[in-house]
Amino acid sequence: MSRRAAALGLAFLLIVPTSTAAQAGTAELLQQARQLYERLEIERALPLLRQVVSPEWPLEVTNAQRVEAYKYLGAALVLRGKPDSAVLYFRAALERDAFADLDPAQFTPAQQGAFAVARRRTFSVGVKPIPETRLDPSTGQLSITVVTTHAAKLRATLRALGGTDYVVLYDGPNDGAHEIAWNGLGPDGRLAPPGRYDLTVVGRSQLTAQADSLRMYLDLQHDVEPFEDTLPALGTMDLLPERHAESTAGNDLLKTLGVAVGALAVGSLLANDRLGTGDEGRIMAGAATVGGIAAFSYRRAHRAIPANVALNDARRAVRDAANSGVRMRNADRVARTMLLITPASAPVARP
Amino acid sequence: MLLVLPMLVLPALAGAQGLELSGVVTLMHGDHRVDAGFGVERATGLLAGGAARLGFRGIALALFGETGHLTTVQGSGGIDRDISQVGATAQFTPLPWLVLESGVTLRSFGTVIARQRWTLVCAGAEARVPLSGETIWAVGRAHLLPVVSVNGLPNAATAFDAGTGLAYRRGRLLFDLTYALERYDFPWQGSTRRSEQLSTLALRGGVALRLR
Repeated sequence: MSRRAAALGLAFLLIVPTSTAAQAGTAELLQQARQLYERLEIERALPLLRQVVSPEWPLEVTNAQRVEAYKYLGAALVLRGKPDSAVLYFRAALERDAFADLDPAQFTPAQQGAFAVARRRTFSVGVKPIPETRLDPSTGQLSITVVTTHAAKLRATLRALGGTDYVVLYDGPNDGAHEIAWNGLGPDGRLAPPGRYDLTVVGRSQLTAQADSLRMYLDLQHDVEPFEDTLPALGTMDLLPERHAESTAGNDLLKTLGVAVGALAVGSLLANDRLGTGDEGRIMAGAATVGGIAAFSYRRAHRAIPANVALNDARRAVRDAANSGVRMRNADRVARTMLLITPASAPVARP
Repeated sequence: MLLVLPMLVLPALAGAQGLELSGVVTLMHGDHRVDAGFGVERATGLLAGGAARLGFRGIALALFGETGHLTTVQGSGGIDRDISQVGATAQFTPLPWLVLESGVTLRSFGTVIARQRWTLVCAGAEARVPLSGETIWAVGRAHLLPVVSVNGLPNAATAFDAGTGLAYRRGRLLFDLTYALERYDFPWQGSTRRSEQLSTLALRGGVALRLR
């Protein structure tokens, strides 16, 4: 384990300086070419710039460096009176970065004219990388910068990965850079649920038959206060029985018959044999029997226990009120949810 | 003694919450039978009276009194008599369905020729089993009477009472219908043994108030 870690560490130490040195080498060469260009030593600048964009250039070249090199190649060729070749290099720059542009303070009108021609002939769309953003959907919006190299119909959509519904962020004409916004809501008009999202931008040129599209992935997380739990549903242990059991009527009858039997037993078994007894015991037994039959019949017909029903209703009402409060407080928390948006893929990935 | 103790406790209880005071009117039919060696004398009649009960947390004191006239049943010996009685009972409820009780009753039988006074001390229990809905209770009770003092007679050798009944309570209203039989067997005196028995079927109705 430690040997493997050591090997990995060594590889990292070997690779990282190489990669950095390579980039530094390319940047140095590019800087050198720019200085030559600015001193109008075009003939010396051109080979250096060609070196940077050459497939045989051994060092690593970032996309930005390549775009820069193409821009200076185009600008240099304009100065050498080769506008058609210049346009080709400008197009190469635009194809790699639709945001590429020439600063009017640094480049001549002729160079800008050639760049404008390249813009008209090239069609590409671009999206600026979205930085990690913390968004309050109640007050803020996520700003997304898109660009087309020339007049086009542009459509930007956002869709949860794996979902079918999408939000249309923009659908209309576009020429150049354009800010579009997302308010954090999903297709259903509710706060977009956490997950990975696919931002797709499709453009169709209005000058040529070209189309271009790109896609990038965003991760969305909710930053919300922890929710309160609602009270659990009342179980059988929490509620009183609302109906008497089937056997209750029979039990009532048995109890009253017990009174009747008791009355007869007292009158016959406990009385003095010599003295005998009157009819009081039998009357009591009769009354208890009649009462028992009445109680039996009543209970058979009326099994509900109104007091328990009322108590259970009161308990349910208390629980419902508590849960309603919890739901309201949770809804407040949801309303205060912040969205954490982080890019999930390399800045722009063409489909 | 049994009367004195609750009386001492009562003022303290009166200031406390949770007191329940009830009062009932009693109407009962009595059947009094006596065999003093001359055949069974039997007299029956109606008695009326009332009772009051003050309860606090499972302890209660009841006072009661009844009076009436018992008429000799035709064909049996003896003479008509008036009966009056007052009594006090202390009750303790250790379980919802069980009441332990003890009390004293002073009873008087009066005839045109004499008046006989009884002093009864009882101890026993009453079981109250509710029917569903808890508005009606099946009641059974039994007491031993260890002291039965009658003027002119020796203390009873065997004395007890037992009874059953139904009690109804809804809100403040109380009703009950109970049957009870009291049996007294006095010691042999020569060749005769005096036996007495009083059976009653009582209907009571009244109200209960909770004092706060």
